[in-house]
Amino acid sequence: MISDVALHDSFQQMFLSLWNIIQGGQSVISCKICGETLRAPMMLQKCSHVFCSLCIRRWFDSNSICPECRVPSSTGELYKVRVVEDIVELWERLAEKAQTLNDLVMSSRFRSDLFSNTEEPSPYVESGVLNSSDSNTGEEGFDAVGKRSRHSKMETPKRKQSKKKTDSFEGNRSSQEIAECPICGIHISIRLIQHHVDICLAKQSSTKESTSDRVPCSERLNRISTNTHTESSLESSFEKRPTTLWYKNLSDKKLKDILQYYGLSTKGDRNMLIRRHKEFVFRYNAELDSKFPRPVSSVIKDIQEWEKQQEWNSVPEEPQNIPLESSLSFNEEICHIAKSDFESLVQQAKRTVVKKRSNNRVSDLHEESMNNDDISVFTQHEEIENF
Amino acid sequence: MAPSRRLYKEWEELERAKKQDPDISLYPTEDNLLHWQAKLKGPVDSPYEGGTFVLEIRVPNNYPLSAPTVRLKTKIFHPNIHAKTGEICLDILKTTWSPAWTLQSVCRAILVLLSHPEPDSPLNCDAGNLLRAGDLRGYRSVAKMYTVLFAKQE
Repeated sequence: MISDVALHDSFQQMFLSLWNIIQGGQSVISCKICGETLRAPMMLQKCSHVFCSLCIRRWFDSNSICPECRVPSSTGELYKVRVVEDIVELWERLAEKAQTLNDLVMSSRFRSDLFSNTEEPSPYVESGVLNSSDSNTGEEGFDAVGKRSRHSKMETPKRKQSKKKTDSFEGNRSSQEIAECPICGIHISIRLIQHHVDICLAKQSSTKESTSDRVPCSERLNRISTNTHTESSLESSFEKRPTTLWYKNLSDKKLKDILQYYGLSTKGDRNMLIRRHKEFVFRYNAELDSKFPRPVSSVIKDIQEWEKQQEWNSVPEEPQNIPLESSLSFNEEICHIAKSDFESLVQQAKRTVVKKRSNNRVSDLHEESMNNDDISVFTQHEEIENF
Repeated sequence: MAPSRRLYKEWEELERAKKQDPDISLYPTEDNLLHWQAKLKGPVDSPYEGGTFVLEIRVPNNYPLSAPTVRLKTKIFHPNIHAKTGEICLDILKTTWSPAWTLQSVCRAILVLLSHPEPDSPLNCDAGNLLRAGDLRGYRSVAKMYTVLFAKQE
């Protein structure tokens, strides 16, 4: 008969290998441009590489090759791949569940490490012994051992039921007192509940930050029917799907009119207007590419956020434009060392120029001497160049 | 798309696979994710073997849509690296940059450039001329001297 601990151990091993596979999947479904999980994945026609819609649209604004294989390509050759989007969604849900499970496994691992420290012989062997002979040692052993034997005795009938319940396997092992997590609703032993709630809370806040305006996967699936109608509302919010324009031919006024039409701000200089319009076009089209597009108002809000970020980013950029230290010091060094040489050369050159001018005036008289002077000017110029 | 998110991902990836690439150690400096430093070990069977070369990497605000600025802080004798400024002449840092590249892959490309100099587009004409004239021995000995003098301090 397998002991509790051995079962738990094989569970851990199986889970860890599964966990590694899921972690490996992250690189498969992440965009090579932004490094994040694919959002509104788009496939290139010629090479079948997949990127986020927004990322690849921004890249194609200034380039026309595939970022991964350099095959010539353009925005017109982008295709939606709904299957990939569904797979990404499935993977996200899987990873979320696996993460909860992983936290549990890690915490229980930590606990078994504690046990192996307090009890000198290996806990795995000992628990087997205890199972058979706990009627003898149960009352008189150490406190820790006593607890263990008692709870393992009580667990035995439950174990068979719990084999398939992965969520609560930890709870069965450690204690008979089980509580429900107020956040994710998982059943868990009272001893571990504090630890688990901490993890749950941290995860909740992090997901809220990163995907504040995205709907959780499970909810999104429930809202498929309602969402089809929001998609059409985004599609029909403007008569024409916005595209990047030939900005050179547009006057400032026209540009502002266009921005106003889309409900964007018209502040800033011409470059800023153009950048804003481009960004809006990328984001709007990327939103259309996704399965559940958000309304235009939130796209506009995003753009305002983005502009704030850009401003914030451009402040520390300035010191970067200062010339590199060593090149500066090198130039200074050279100037310092060769200062006298430069000056004498410049003076020499000036003198010959003056001479040449005066010779020009009297050129009719001294043809021969001028020829000589010309040669000297030439040689001195050559000297400067050679230096 | 702020570059910091992607840079943070790259950093995480580097931390995870730290032992995979013993020739490159790459890390952000001064708590600024836009300013990185890398230490490259000179490739085996090249005159740079045994030296440690320090790279300074500055990441632009629209990274990864445009390439990072990379400069070699250690003095080196190489046809494609400027002797004084440390500027590197590498196509992927100029014209053929692609957002699929990472800072680590840039470092790898520079390592490859160290072992395979390209004398036809030189930034250091002395090194380029030596190679183009076929004086491999001269080039190797000068490069080795530079490595011993400047790249072996650490």
